[in-house]
Amino acid sequence: MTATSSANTSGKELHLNWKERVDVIRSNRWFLMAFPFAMLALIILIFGGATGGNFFRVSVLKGILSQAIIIGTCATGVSFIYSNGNLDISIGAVLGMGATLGVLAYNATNITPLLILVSVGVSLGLMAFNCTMSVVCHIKTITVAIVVTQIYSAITTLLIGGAGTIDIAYETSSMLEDGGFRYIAFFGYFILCLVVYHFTRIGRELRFLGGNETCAQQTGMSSGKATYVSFLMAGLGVGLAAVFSVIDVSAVSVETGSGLGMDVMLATVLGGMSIFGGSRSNAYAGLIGALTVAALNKGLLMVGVPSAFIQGIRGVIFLALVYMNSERRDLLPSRMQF
Amino acid sequence: MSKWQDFRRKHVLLMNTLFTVAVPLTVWLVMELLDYSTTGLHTMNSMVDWTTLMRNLVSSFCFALGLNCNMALGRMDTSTGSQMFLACILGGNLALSLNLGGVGVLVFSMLLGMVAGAFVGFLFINLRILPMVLGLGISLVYECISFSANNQQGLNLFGKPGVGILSNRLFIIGITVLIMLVMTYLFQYSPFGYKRRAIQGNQKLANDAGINIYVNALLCYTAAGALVAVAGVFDTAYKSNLVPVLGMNSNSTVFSNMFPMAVGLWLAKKSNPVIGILAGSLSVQFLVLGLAKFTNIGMSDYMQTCIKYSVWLVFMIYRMNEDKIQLIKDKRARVALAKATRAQRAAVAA
Repeated sequence: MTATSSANTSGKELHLNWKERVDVIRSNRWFLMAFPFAMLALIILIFGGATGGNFFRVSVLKGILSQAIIIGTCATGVSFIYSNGNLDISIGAVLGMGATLGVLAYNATNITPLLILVSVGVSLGLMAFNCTMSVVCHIKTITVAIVVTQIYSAITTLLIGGAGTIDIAYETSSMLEDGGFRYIAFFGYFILCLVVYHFTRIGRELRFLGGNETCAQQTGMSSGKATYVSFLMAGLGVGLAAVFSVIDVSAVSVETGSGLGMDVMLATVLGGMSIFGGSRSNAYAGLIGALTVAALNKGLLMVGVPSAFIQGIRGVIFLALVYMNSERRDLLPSRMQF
Repeated sequence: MSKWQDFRRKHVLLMNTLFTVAVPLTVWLVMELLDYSTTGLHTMNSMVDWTTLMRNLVSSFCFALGLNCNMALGRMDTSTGSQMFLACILGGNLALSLNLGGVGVLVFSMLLGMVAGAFVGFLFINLRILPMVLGLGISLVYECISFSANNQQGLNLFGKPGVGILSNRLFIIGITVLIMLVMTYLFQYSPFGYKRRAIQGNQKLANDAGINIYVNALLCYTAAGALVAVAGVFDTAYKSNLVPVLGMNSNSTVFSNMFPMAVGLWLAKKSNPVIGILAGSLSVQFLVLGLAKFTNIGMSDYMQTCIKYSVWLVFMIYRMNEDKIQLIKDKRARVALAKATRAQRAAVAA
């Protein structure tokens, strides 16, 4: 009798409605791994067809790759911040200030390595400052990001001055580009992130803290230490991205880094990672997502969609993907800031 | 108990009023001293300064109050800036096309703001995405709509018939007082306000007690939409036009109004959120007007921005560590008391 009722219950439990079926599919690990690649392939196919093959021209693909490297470097670094449950929207401003000081240092000395060292050093310093405000002064990371974004942007504009742009010698930027600096630096950083994230204790701690902070702290993990590591790894990535953005246009302007924060968030969710962190986080989501974002931006422009509508489309895609990547809570999500 | 402590205990209302008034007064005094000593000008130098203060104050107060509708419950709605643009551009132009004048612009913008806010609330309670992230996505969509509307011209009030009332001082004061009364009733004395405060205390307990947290969230978003629309209308009346933006630039309005809201919430502990935010907005406006005087000695707008946000950062450091400072003070008082008691006992023993 008991066995029969148990079998009936199991039969009922197996009968899932469509929402539950979607939940089962989207939490499948193979689906999560295949989804970003499928999205990238789909976008390439759609725009390839819509532009009559023009999308596959070498110059277009080079442009996409160039944009993807900047977004991908930032997104790979910022995935460390996301993975332990923090959000930082100041990376665009950090990149702008890092690039500006790097260019000023280079123009004053004409020493190319100084451009790289100053850009990376400044970005690391600024991210360390953001982190200190959060860890030592107990201000929420997002509140710190909101305040410092305005301060860094204002300082950058002051440094650049009335012209709104500072050029560097074209020979220097082309030398760095032709010498393959971008690709070597990007893949070096990417491999470092993969190793730290997936094969070291600190990477596991970051994911654990993002999944359940209280539980992780009760097992002896230091939230402060993990936050510092995540911000410094992100700072290194943002610093490199600052150098890449200078190489890209042989200049730095007050617009450098603007809109990057949203591109990075979109790249992260398109790469199949939740921006709320947790055990499903990974370090490679940023690269796949960055390629998809760059292809999407370029493709929409090539098919003649106005820039305002591109933004709207990106907003809808962003919300749909965040919804897909996040677990639905029983109550309303909230997070005290003040 | 000392005489001062006894006085404070007996006159709680007076002390709370003094605390609320003291902060904007201190900011004004500090800026007045700095301005006069460096530029030879007063912070409030002419009637133009007073008019500017009044217009900016009502705009900042309404926006900060709109942010507070959700912020106090742990929901940072980053889409309020784009809601303001959408409501003012669509509602304002609709009212102008119907020749309804300034009051029509205000009413139609408020209605559109309520619709825009309610839609965000509807998405929030259905999608249950973290409000800040939802707000970023919505900002992109709302900016796209407001940019594309009215041939990318935004809202232009310059020379339009009947919009002069939006710059009338009595009208501005009347609207401010009306908003204060309505929001005080809504936040402090209405069933909606009681439920909101219960949710603010503990969402799960409130839900278990039978409060519909979803309807309350929807109402909070709707009220926030209406308030930011009012802020947008007065801001547009001051600047004479509202230029649509893209690239999440509407967020800068949200971020700049978080400062008066943060100060206001701190002041609210001795009054109520509406009065607290008004005093917070006034304090920040005195700071901004005071800093603006430094333009005469060559200080750029960007340097003023740096100073303003640095002051906010310092304030946040104090705010987030206030309890630790109090802990240190209490410890010192205990040590002093222990020392005094020991000395007293030693004296008696001798």
